[in-house]
Amino acid sequence: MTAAPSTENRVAPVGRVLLGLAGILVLAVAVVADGPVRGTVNALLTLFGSEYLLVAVIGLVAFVVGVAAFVTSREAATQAAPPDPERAVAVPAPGESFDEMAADWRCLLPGAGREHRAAVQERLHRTAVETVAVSDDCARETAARRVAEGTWTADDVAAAYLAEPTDATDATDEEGWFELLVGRQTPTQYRAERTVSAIADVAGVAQRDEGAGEGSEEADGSEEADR
Amino acid sequence: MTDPSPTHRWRGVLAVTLVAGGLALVAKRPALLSSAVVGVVFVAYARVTSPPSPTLELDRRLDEASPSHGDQVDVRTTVRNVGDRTLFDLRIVDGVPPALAVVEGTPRHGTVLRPGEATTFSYTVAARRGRHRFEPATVVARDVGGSWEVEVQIDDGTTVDCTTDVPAAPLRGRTLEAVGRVLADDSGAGTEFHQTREYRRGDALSRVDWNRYASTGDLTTIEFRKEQATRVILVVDARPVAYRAPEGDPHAVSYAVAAAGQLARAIVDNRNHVGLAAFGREPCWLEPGTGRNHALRVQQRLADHAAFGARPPDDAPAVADQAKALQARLENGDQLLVLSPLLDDEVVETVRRFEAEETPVSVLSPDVTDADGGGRTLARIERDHRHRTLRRAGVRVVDWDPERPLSVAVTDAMGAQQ
Repeated sequence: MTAAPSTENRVAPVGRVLLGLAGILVLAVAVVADGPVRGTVNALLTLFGSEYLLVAVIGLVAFVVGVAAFVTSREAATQAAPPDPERAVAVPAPGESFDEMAADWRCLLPGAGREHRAAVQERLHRTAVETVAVSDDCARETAARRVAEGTWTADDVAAAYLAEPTDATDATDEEGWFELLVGRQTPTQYRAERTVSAIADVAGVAQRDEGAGEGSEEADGSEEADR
Repeated sequence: MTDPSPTHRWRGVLAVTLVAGGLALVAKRPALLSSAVVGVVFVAYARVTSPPSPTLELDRRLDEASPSHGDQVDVRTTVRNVGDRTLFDLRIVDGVPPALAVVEGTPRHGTVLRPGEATTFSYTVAARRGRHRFEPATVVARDVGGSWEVEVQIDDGTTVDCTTDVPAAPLRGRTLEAVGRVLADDSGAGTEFHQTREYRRGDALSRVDWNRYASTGDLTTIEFRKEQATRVILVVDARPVAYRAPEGDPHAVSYAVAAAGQLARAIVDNRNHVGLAAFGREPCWLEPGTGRNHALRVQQRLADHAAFGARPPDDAPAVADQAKALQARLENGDQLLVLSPLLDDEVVETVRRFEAEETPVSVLSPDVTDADGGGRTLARIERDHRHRTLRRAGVRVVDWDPERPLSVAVTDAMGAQQ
């Protein structure tokens, strides 16, 4: 396929030539019609009192305009930004927004973070109940009871996390705070990951190595917002 | 092509010239004033040069246009100056399909092209399952002084087709009064055995069960299941939530779009009618039709319509509203084949609502979850639950791992169903 120049593009050089011709014409008039130009210069000399002062004023104007041009040159410079085609278009991985929600610093706030912590806990609770109901082939009520009693998993952290009827994460255990203090995870994140692992064990889902998915880019959060 | 725009590259030189000239006048320094003249020449040159007006031709060659999943495809791109002026500064960036990654070489190239001259550069991409259309190559042309630039897009519609034929689409047994390949519940013209009944006068002799007659002496007639045409609407889930993928992989929407093209071919090959709709940033609707030309129309719509864009939208209308609009277009007997990664509960609810309103739905679900720990593992478990929820509601669900050909996933699912 061919890309051709636009009509405007072909017209532009003509305009520039006309402008150049107009400049030459003005210069020619100034040279030929010596009288009016000389009269103007003499009037300016009378106004400023000396030749140096007139030239200095012109020099100062040039200096000020030059400084202004220098200051604005960085912003004025433009350049086309071609696309970045080397890598496949970056989209969030499934579940990435859950990780971000669990790692959100607001989960650390004792009062204001309650809503965030509850959202994480609620989603894990719902998944745990469904998973237990499927793996044990029992009713959801039975599965919910097992989750509430903490008997659905051998993982103490996961069992305790989902057994709590309401958000009680303010009282984070020592292990959770240790994870936070060594700069690895928020307590909510720590508990959520342990709980996901426990659910995956019950569901029979094999997990890949942890951390392999770190460094992923943008996430718009819509995945969970749609729930 | 964009209009030529000034780069203001020489603005700094203009500033230095004016400052030097001004100081020279104030301080009475003729040497400094003379040096400022050099700057004036540069600035004047930038002003008098005209913007480039590139007329270019693109030719893109692939060493394999229909590679297998994971193959490496060499791309050779040639750009020719078919205009009558020399292009002093050309920066070319080829439009690699958004779902594919470059694994060797670079799709960028810089050169000078005289009239009639061409330049070629090559690189290698890794093929992923799906139909991937190259985007237009972007060319930035600057004049010799770099003070003007023009951006040009050149396309030649190259496509990497990494799909295979699918023998049949996973459909439900609803039919039109026209011969097709969907099995109806009553007897008639067809090839699949349905039942035997007592012979009646006028039954074709070819239908008589002679084996039974030989062994028992009973004269019976074999009946086959009637094969009739059906109207299938392919619905691609292209909402923001469906644009998900592990790093470096194509997202679920690109898989769904490729699968929709393959299924459309399979549906018309089996003498059925196929239409197209989307849940996404823009409404999309293609009236069901049949025949190879209609299948091509479906593929064209999948390639061109904004709803199936390669880049995720910022937002999309509520899926409930889109489903309502789709329901209003359906005729009695239509069935839906929804292509969705099933990454949220809304799409499950929507499918169940269609089922409740007696529109049979099948779901083909490309799996883009990777159980990589934390939320990713949770996403896989939740998706499994959604599958189960849909199957409990009577919906036919085909789970497709894009590492395997779609034909295998569909054949396996149909085999398991029978």
